[in-house]
Amino acid sequence: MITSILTYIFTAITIAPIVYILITKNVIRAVFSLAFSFLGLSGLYVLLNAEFMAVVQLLIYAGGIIVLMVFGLMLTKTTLNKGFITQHRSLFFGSLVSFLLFISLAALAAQSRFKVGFIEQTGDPVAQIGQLFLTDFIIAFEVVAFLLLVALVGASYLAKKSGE
Amino acid sequence: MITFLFFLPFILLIVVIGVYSERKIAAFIQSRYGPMEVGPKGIIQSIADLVKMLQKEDIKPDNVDKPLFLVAPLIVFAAIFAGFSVLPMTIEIGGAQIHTGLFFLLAIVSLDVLGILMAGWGSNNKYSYYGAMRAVAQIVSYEIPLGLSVLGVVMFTQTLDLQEISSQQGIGSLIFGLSTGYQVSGFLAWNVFQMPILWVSFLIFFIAGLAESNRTPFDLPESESEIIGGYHTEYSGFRWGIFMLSEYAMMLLVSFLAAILFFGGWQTPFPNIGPLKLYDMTTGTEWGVFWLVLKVIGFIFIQIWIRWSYPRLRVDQLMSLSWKYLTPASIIILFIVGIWKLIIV
Repeated sequence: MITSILTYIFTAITIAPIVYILITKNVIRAVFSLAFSFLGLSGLYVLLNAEFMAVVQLLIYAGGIIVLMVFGLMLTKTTLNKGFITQHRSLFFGSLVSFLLFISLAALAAQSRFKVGFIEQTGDPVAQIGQLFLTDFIIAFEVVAFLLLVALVGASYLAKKSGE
Repeated sequence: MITFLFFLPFILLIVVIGVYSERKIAAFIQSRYGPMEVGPKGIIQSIADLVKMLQKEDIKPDNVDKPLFLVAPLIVFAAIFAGFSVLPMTIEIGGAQIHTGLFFLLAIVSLDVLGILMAGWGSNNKYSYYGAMRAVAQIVSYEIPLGLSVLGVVMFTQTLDLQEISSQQGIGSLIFGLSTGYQVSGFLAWNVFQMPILWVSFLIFFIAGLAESNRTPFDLPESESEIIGGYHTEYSGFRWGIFMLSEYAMMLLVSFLAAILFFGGWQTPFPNIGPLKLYDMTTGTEWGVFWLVLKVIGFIFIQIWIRWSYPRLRVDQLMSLSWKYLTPASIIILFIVGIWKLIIV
């Protein structure tokens, strides 16, 4: 009972900011409302017993990506007083495309057989995830690690170039 | 529930006492009296200040971005306060029982950056803007040595649950992770004595913690002489008070974490020596709270002491300290702890 009420609340927290992003013309407010949407999403993960996933969602998306986006906005040349205001462009085609996308995604979701209900959590999820990373998913894990290393080296190279 | 019932009043109390003791310690260090007028030895000074602050007008400048400006202090405080939910006070009062306790704490506390950015941007003021940029750059950079130094402890204790980490530092038979055959208890079972390299880890953690809570020598985001007051320049009255409260809450949180991760949490420092059962005598619910709070107050005292002893760093010094010294050092410590763990298993 209380779980389903919480599910509705968190779904509302996830969706309402997204609707606000569609309506608003102020980019910086849109970015901050996206952060609230991520918080709602992480609440939904907790309700689905995916505690580790929820914390990762908080750390990477709400803490990391949003800060990156705000920094990106703030470093672009702008006048401080006006803020970032955009216009709503090509409303008709935009809504048409997104409506079609929604229809096709909804059709896919209706066809697939999702397992409904909660998966019982036994033992320490962090230890289990760690063991799976280093056994069953070792190649994917190593590839991701290598990709991140390449990205880091590339980023520092670019930073050095622009500094000199 | 314990977060609201215990920690919220506790933070308020610590702020009132902390402000007073900060001014008194500062006065002592600088050979002057400090607050003397209100009450005996000026003891009611911070309560008087609090009342004055609450009576002030809540000024909302015309050109601010209203929603961002108004909600920013709440986000900063809520993010830091959420971190308190997983702290264990004693063996019975364990906080939120989640497996990812420490990870959750670091993740949720890192969200205060969002509130600072909102305040800096929403204030529509150059100084606030620069203050917010500095604060965020600083907090994001110092999260890396902070996280890595904590990871050393996690690797050694093999759990993220703060209650589990505290319990492990109680009574056992291990020294440096090796079995001795004798009973080891008290301070000898603490992580810094079990794994002496963690002393370095603790130093890194403490320095990064100072930076995270924007304390001197890392108070560039609010340096009065350069950028007025940083991201809270435009705030007044109660909203400014929330920023102040958040800073002290962050100090408190860092101190709690240091005590739990490195110095045994709610465990007593006294070991059992032969027939003299000092450990058993000083263990219990009330004792647990007492020891933890005592350790925390000790760390807060050190933070205040450092504030009045060191000058502020420059921005480039700040960044090179984090990236060129603390981060590599904490990676090396992580490596050593890992190797040691491999050897003794």
